[in-house]
This record gives sequence, C-alpha cells and structure tokens, in this order.
Amino acid sequence: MTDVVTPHANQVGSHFLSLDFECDLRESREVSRCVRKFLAAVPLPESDLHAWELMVTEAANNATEYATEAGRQQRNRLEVFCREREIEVRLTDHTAGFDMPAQARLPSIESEKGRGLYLIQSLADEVEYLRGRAENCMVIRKKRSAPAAGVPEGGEAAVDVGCRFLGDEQTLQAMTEELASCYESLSAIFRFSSALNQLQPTEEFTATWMQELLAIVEADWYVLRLVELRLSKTSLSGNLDFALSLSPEASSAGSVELRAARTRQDVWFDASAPLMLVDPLSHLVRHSNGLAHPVFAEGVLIGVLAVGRLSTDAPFKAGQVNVIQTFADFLGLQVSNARFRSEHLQAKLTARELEIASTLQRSLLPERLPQMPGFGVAGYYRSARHVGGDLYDAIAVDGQGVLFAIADVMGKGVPAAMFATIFRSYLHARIDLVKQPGEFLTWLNHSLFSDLDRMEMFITAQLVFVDPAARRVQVAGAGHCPLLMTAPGGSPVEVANTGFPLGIMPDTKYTEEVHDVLRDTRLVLFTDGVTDLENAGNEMLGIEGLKHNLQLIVNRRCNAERTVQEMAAMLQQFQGKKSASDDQAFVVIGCE
Amino acid sequence: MKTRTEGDTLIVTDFTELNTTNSMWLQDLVNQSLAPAHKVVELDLSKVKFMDSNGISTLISIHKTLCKRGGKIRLTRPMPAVSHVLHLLSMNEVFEIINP
Repeated sequence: MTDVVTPHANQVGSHFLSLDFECDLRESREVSRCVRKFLAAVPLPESDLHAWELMVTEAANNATEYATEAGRQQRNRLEVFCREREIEVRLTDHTAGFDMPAQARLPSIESEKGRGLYLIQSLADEVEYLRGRAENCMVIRKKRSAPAAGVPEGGEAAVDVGCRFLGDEQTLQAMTEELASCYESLSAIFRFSSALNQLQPTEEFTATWMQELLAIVEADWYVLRLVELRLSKTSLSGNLDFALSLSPEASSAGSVELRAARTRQDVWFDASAPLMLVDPLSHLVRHSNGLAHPVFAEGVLIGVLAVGRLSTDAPFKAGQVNVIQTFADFLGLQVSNARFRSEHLQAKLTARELEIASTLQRSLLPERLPQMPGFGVAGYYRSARHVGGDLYDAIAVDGQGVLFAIADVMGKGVPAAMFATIFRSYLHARIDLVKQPGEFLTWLNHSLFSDLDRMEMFITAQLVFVDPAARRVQVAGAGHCPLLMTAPGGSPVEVANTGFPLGIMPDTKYTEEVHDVLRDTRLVLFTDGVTDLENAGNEMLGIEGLKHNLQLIVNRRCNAERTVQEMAAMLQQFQGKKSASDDQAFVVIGCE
Repeated sequence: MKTRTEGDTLIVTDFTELNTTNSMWLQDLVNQSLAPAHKVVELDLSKVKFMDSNGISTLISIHKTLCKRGGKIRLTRPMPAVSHVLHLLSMNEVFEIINP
C-alpha cells in the first residue's frame, strides 16, 4: 500500500476513497486506520468511526486470511463511498467466497473463531456479499449519523496516512461507471415493472428482458430453460433461444445447467473449467466463459439461466454477477406470475365448462320414467366429479310398450355431454324404430358415425324394448355393458353384450335378442361406472360383484324402486370414502 | 505491554490495541509471565481504543487456560467503544468486567 490519502469531494457532493492492499494482516489493519481517518473528515461521530474501523478490519482480515493461493498474488481493493445519507464500503476479495447468512449466528462462548461476520452484520445497516468467478465483493452500508457538536477529529483527514490517492478524473470515472450501472439496472427494472400488467406473451417479454441483461453485463449470449410445470423437477425444457431439451435422465456431470439446477448454486465455466463435449450448451457455444444460474420463484426452482461471453476471457465481475442474479430473480417472479395467471384463467374456464356440461347432463335425464302395466321401472344416476356422458332415457309408444335406452359417451366434460345430447335427439327422432332395437342402433350408428369419427369419439349404448302385454323384451347392444336379467332364487344372465360401439365402424349391422320375461324377473341396464367402481383398497366391483349383490337384493323380492334403492346403498357401501372416477347410471325394470 | 503481580493476580497494562497482530504478543506475554500462584489475569483496558474479533479470540484462549487451573480473567476499565464490542459479543457473560 502506498502513499497519500486525501478526501476527495466530487461534483455530486460525495466523497470517494479507493485503496489497494496486499494479503497481509498488518495491511488489513492499516487499511482500517486509513478508512477511519478518511471518514473523520466527513465528519462522523466517534461511535460511527469506531464501527467502520472495526467492520473494515474484520472484512479485510477475512479477505486476507481466506484468500486462495492465486488470490494471494493479487491485491484486495477497498472503496469507500460517502453519500449524502449513507456510507458504503466495498471490499473486493480473491477468496473462494462463501454463502453469507441473512444473519450470522454468534458462535458458542468457547469458540475462538467466527465472530467477524457477526460483528459486521451487527454494526452495519446492510451487508451484501456478491460472489464472482475470480473475485467477490462485500458491500457494507451504514446510515450517516450527524457528528457530535464541535470540531471533527482535528484535521486528521489532511494527514498523510499512507494510502493511494485517486485523482479527479479517476474518481469521476469510477462514480460515473457505478451510477451508469445502477441506472441501467434500475431503469430496466422500472420498465419491466410497468409492463407487468400488460398482457403479452411471456416468451416475448422474457426475450426483451434478456437482451437488456446482455447489454448491462456485457455478455454475448444467454440460454434460459424453464422447468415444465407438469414434468419432474429435473426435466428442463422450453428454452427461448434454442430448441433443446434435457431428459431427466441426462447426466448432471455433463451439463452445467443441470448441475446448477440440482445443486441450486451458480456453476461457472471458462477455459480452466470448459464446457464438456456432452454438455448441450457446448453445441451452441463451444468456447465461452460464463455461469449457469438457477432461477427460483418463492424458493421453487423454475429454470436455469446460462449467460456467457465469447468476445473476452474476462469473467463477470462480482457486481455483474449480482445484476444477473437480480434479473434472474425478478424474471423468476414474472414467469411464475404469468403461469399463475394462465393457470387461474384455465381453472376458471374448466370450472365453467364443467358447469355447462353438468347442466346439459341433468337436462338429458327424464323427469320420470314411463310406467307399464304389470311392470315397475326406476332409475338411478350419480355424477362423478368430472361430468361424463352417461345417460338413460325411455320412450313410450302408446299401448305397445316402452323403449329403454342407456348410453355412455366416451370422454368427459362438454364434448361428451354434447354428444349425449345429440344421441338423445336422434333417439327421439325415429319413433318408428323403437320396436326394432337392432335396426335402431344400426341407424344411430350410420347417422352419428361421421361426427363421432371426426371427433375420435364413440358411444356405447343398449336399447331394450319392453312389450308388457307379451311380457317380452327385445335387446340390442352397441359395445355396452350387458343387460342383466334375473329372478329370485336364480342367477343373473348377461344379455346382448355384442356389437361395436357407435362411431367405430360405419356400416355395422346390429342384431337383437328376444327374451320372455317371467313374473318377478328383474332387468338391469347399467353403465360401466357401476362395475368400475373401486373401494378403498382399489378393488373394482366388477361384473361378478354386481351380479352377486344384485341377486342378493332380488332374492328379497324387492320391487323395481326398492331394488334401485338397495343397489344404490350397496354401491355407496362398497365405495366407502373413496370418490368415484366415473358416473354411475342404471335402470331397473321389474316384472311384478 | 507491561505486567506486574498483586497477590494471586497477574496484571497486564499499557497497551492501546488488541488486534490480529498484537494479540499474539499478549498471548505470549501471559504464557511467559503466568506463575503457579496466579489465579487471575487482569487486563487493564483503560488505554485500549480498539479491539477486533481476533483480540477477543485471544482473550477466550487465555480464559480457557486459566479455567483449567481454577482461575479466571478480569477486564478492567474498558473504554466505551471496547465495552460496546464486548457486550455485542456477549463477552460480559464470560469475563469479569470491572468498570470505573
């Protein structure tokens, strides 16, 4: 450390001091004495002078004690900025750096180490530690107190205390650079803050943001990859500049970005630690220096930002790294907010869609099922959380009988509900076909095929025409669950579970079966939501489970309405507290 | 730095700082001056204007040495700035501090 310090007032009324010193503890102490003398002329009260003397001593001691081998060959730099309302000291070191805690803890009474940082944080108003590749910078700020009344410490500032003087030109240049850097960063942040409420594509917004960053930190390129919302945490994709994705299985050893993501720390690369050939970044920028910085939003990793230089070997300075980190943090919040807004909008749309579908679904069910002499009829419908396309219906033909229909449109939500509506409309369009269920299904398939095919959807359906006078049923199925037919003391018979669903083959011919119905016989039409129902142990009820329980109920000679009630109770008991994933619908026809 | 003995107390006086470099001298001085009869080391801080964390570390080291022989360390008449640092680091819970 050499010669002369003189406080220098620059044009904006601030004072500035810059000192370079060797990695030597004696010099550390000299530096703090120097700073004290310099600040005494500001002037500051004795308590503040002592605080700064102590803080600078501790910071300089750390910079000296923990300097790397290469760092010991370089001089540390201490700068003091006297502003109108505060004093700021920056100490640039050449140590390996450390993660500064928000508040250092006081070590145990017995410990002989670890009090320096605690002292600095206790005495300062604000302490930052900016980590760079080859250097780090501790920034200490403390508000200026008014000096005690009287003359400041007698003219000490004018004394030659052996420090390097920075002349007018250098001082102004340093101040200008600092102000320019702050101004660029702040103005950029203000610009983006004002853009917050404007709806614009996130990618465009981010690209503009990144270009600003490159200019400020004198970088040449960047790659930003954002974690896909629904992918695993280590899967990175969605970069802005390059179409490239990393699988979760990719080796983190070969990718600085994955390493940054997994360690949640900055990863540097340069000539001494070059990008590996297998690193996806190396395909884009083979020889470069820079860093990969993990981007977080409220503690959650949302991506990795890699920034680098091609034009120079000079690593980013600590201040520039701080700018990159600050921009990345701010960007993380913006992306997170944009995603939240998007998800919120999508959630509202989905909720509205389900509301529409639910209304449609309810409108499809008949208010009451038509009754027939000698027969009882009852139906049951229970909607799952996601509205599906189940429906049942009945069309009475005066004096001739009733056509019962049950159907299940593949899919959920509005599309399924829409097709259920269309199916129901077609069902009511051909009264002439109700006594010919097979023929009816053939016509329905022919009529609906093009629409279903275009939407890649299909419908399973079953039509049952009951002739009460003849006590006979005609049954036709299109890929639907079989009709179950049983009587007390018997066992359920599966009827008409043949034929493709509607919308699969354009020219399918559906046939029908005819069965006589004896007294006390129960016919059950149902959708697969009944047999697919799962209990808490994830076991499905299944067709055999349904048949077994149905028979127990039928054996009790319940009428149709009572059979429906008992079946509903049975299903709820089986299901327990587990929520159903599909609608449940069934119709019971009882020959009394 | 000067030392003198009063009864079972080794008194150290005449130093103005306790920092990284001179605290080693204090350690050496105490080690050399400490006799079996000494139970207390008293540091006169009335002239000490500056003490950093390494100075504190040295005091703790001397304190440990004395504890092993059933003794203690005593700090007398610290100046306000030094007293502030001692309290900031809770050293008043470790050392006996005698104010004027």
